[in-house]
Amino acid sequence: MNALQGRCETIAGDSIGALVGMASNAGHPEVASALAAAAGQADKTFFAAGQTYRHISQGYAASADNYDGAENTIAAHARTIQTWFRPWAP
Amino acid sequence: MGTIELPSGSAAKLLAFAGQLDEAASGTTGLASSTREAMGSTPSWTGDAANAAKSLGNDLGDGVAAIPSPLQRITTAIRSYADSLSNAQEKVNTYNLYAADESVTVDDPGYMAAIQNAAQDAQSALDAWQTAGDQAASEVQAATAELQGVSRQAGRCVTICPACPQEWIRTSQRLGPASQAGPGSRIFRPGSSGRGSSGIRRVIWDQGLPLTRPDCWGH
Repeated sequence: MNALQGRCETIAGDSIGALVGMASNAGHPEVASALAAAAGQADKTFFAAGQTYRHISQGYAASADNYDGAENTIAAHARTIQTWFRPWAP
Repeated sequence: MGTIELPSGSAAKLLAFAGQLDEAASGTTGLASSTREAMGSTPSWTGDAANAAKSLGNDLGDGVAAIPSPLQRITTAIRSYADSLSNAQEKVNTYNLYAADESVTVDDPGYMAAIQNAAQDAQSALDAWQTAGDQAASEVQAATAELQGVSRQAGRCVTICPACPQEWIRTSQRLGPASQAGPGSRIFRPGSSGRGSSGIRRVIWDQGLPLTRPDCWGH
């Protein structure tokens, strides 16, 4: 997810750069204005997408920690139970 | 003969930037595919929390997949506009060359016919450029509205669920590694009655549930 977020940011930069470059070279004032607005909107859209990538990435990391915690706990309990019933076991 | 003002702008640069935007649009298509693939292959843990995160990830993939269309709409409009700009500049330049030529006189009928034709061509090209500009602006505005729709979906998703990862993190910290959790242990989620012993995955599911809201990136 982190890698995808990075790709999203790169694409965002390229897109917004292209739109701003177009606006600077349009000549026609209405076209320039529309392109500048498009660049602003693209910024917001890609930012929202990037935020969502980060959002999912953080959720994964936190939940994976929880999952690991549960697995470790289960393993620890299993060892305890094993020792209790079979104290000779290694 | 007076000259005509040359339209400003650079068709060559517009085409170059249109190419860059096309590449970015293609990259966005690839990003959407990669996002869907990533959601299909990760994570190794399973359960409701994973399903909720995957659901959001799939919605995100759909949302990202909706971005290239408006970008390509802009490149198409700008390429068409760039043609008109280039043509208008060429025709105006041609006329201005005639108008600036001091070696001919107005008594020359051939010159007068040529300059009148050039003037008409230039004016027609300028009119076409204005029309193309209006159309391009309109198309770009429509594409911007499309992008805004995608952004609004994403924005709603993030504003609905800003606490989800933090809740997950808090849950993780509250439980701690291998602390209260385990088979048969009771885990109380915030606001619950404390009943139940469904384990960590249930807690994650409870905290992660808002992520499954269907209006996130709904397409």
